[in-house]
Amino acid sequence: MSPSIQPPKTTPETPEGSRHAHGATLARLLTRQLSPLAVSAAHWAEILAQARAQQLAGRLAEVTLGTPEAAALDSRLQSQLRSAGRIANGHQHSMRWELNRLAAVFCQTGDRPILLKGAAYCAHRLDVARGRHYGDVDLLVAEDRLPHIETALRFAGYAPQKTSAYDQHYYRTWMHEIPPMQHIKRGTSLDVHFRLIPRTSRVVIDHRPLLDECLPARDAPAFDVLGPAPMLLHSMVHLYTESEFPQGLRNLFDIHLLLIEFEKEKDFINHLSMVARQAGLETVLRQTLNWRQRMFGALSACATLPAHLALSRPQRWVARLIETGLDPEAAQRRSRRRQTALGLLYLRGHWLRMPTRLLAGHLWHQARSKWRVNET
Amino acid sequence: MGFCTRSKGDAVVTRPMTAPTLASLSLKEIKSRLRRSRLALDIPPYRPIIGCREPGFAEALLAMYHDYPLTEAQGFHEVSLEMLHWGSVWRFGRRQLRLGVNGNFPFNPLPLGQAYPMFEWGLNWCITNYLHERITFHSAGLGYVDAENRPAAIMLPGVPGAGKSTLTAAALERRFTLLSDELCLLSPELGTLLPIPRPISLKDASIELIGARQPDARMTSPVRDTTKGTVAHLQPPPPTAIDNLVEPVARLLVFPRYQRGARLACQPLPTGQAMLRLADQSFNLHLHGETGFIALVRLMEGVRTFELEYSDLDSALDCLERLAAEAPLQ
Repeated sequence: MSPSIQPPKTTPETPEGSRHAHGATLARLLTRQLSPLAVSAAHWAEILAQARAQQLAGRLAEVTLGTPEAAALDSRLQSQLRSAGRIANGHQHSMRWELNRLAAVFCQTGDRPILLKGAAYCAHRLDVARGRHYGDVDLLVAEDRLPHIETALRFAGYAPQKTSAYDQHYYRTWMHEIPPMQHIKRGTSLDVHFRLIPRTSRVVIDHRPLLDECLPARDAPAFDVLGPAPMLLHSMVHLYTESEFPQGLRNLFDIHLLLIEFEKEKDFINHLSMVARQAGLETVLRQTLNWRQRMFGALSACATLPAHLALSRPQRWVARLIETGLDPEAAQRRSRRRQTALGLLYLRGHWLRMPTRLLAGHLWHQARSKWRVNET
Repeated sequence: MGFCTRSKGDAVVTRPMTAPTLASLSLKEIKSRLRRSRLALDIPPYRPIIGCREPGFAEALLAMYHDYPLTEAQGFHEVSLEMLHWGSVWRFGRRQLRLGVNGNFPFNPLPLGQAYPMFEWGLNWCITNYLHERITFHSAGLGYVDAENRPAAIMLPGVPGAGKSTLTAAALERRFTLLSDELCLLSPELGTLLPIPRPISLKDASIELIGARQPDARMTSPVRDTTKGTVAHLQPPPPTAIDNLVEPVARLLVFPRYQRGARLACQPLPTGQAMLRLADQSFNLHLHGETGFIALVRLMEGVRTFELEYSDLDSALDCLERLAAEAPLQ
């Protein structure tokens, strides 16, 4: 392990400041390392397209319009940013409403689910929720309560989306959630988890230290959220075991913002490492912290990161792949380098999630059902 | 794949008083810019950058946007739309067209030959997806001067097939101006509608019908077998006439319904019912929350609402003209 965890070349100040100096402009705008006026009007069109593709447009709008320079931007650009902000507000609004409706369901069953990911950020009024776009509502319930909860949710209008016997088996036996449900009227999707990561995952975690610190959500009293360290680790383990990255940069940015918010608490980083060790997530923590540093620059916590969080050589290799895979500009160019990186990351993600024999069987089934669809 | 290039300096686009129009370029130059994805036009509300190599596209674009001003390709533009050829060995060399919106590909590819409708649909999609400073309605809009000499508008919302576009195209023969055949953009603060005159999309039998009524009008050659049937676009009136127009306030809300063989029937519609139906035709009312609701209520307070069932265009137009000439609500 190398003694230094913070290679100077990722600091934004240094001119050879790595690829960030001219690479991921979007990341530098999001972290306010770059003034919005330093980006040309035509380049802004590109940045906005990248942000939209990554579901980051709302946050970009929030950050950019909050700067004093915003008034000097092209008025058409300002208008586009305000529109993007409105979309994010709409997402926020429907997330709150969905949680309100779900609270009524769980009030009946007498359960107290733990909100995960976006739903938790929104309900706990974290900084990361500002300008964030939301997809599904994710929540965690006790596995033995599943039959009751599923029935109650069906009565409330949430219908299971995947009903084939194989899908049911796949989700319930191997995954960490039941098949996704969708509300028949509102169209919102709901992921009910009974574990934090798939049963078959190669990353084996101990759930206990992660569920220890749960606390009531600030804005949704019917729900709990994970404590700061477990919340961050959960976000990290998902990015770590991901095999596809449609919103990879956004997920990494979530981690970045959570870290910035939580590290205001004294000694947070040490506590985080401790929980990670107890839960068996040390590698995950080390990797994702380094990925974050590469993408969003060495802000804040990095200086206080313990030395044991440096990467080994093969891990550095994965970090480079991630960097290429998540680069929003490469995504726009569809470069071959990025395609290769994404291909390797895809294999890596699947390898991490399932034992090889199971994976082979699963891919075979997927291919066969696709074939059948094509035939009919 | 072409995407907009970065400019070195600060490129603030200002439109000169007499901006050169698309017609000021030679067809060869238009084609060359399209090939490089560098053709930038001012098509309110947006300034798209357009790219396409499909033969025939340049001609169609020139016919439709003849008098629309060009803009600097280096400046900020809300959208870049590229109709790109796409094929792979898996498709046995069968080539298709893919729509690139700002470098992303949100749609399934379409057959070759549909480049022009693809461009129009793509631009509509961008407006409904990216423009949320206004409340957008799936509705045609016609401008007129009301009995008190104020700029006013008729909104004609309706599901596809209700005859919005046909009615709009024919209405231009009368005292009406074109706001849009597809989208009404309501300002939540001012309660006015932004005119976005663009080519009118005619389908199936309407193409011949309007072609016979307006033999001098320019129309793109019909594209068959699209997802919406046969489609042709009709050239809008020159944009210069609209530039000076004050944004009108809607005074009439008419839900048209074409019914083959039906006799003209124009029934007043209860305001509450009309409001719900209009809200149903909005793409982004939910993003405007309370402000949006209040804006919609204000709009409803200022309009008279009707349901118009018709089969004969001329009698429908007579009816619209009569409604427009009547005293507006106070």
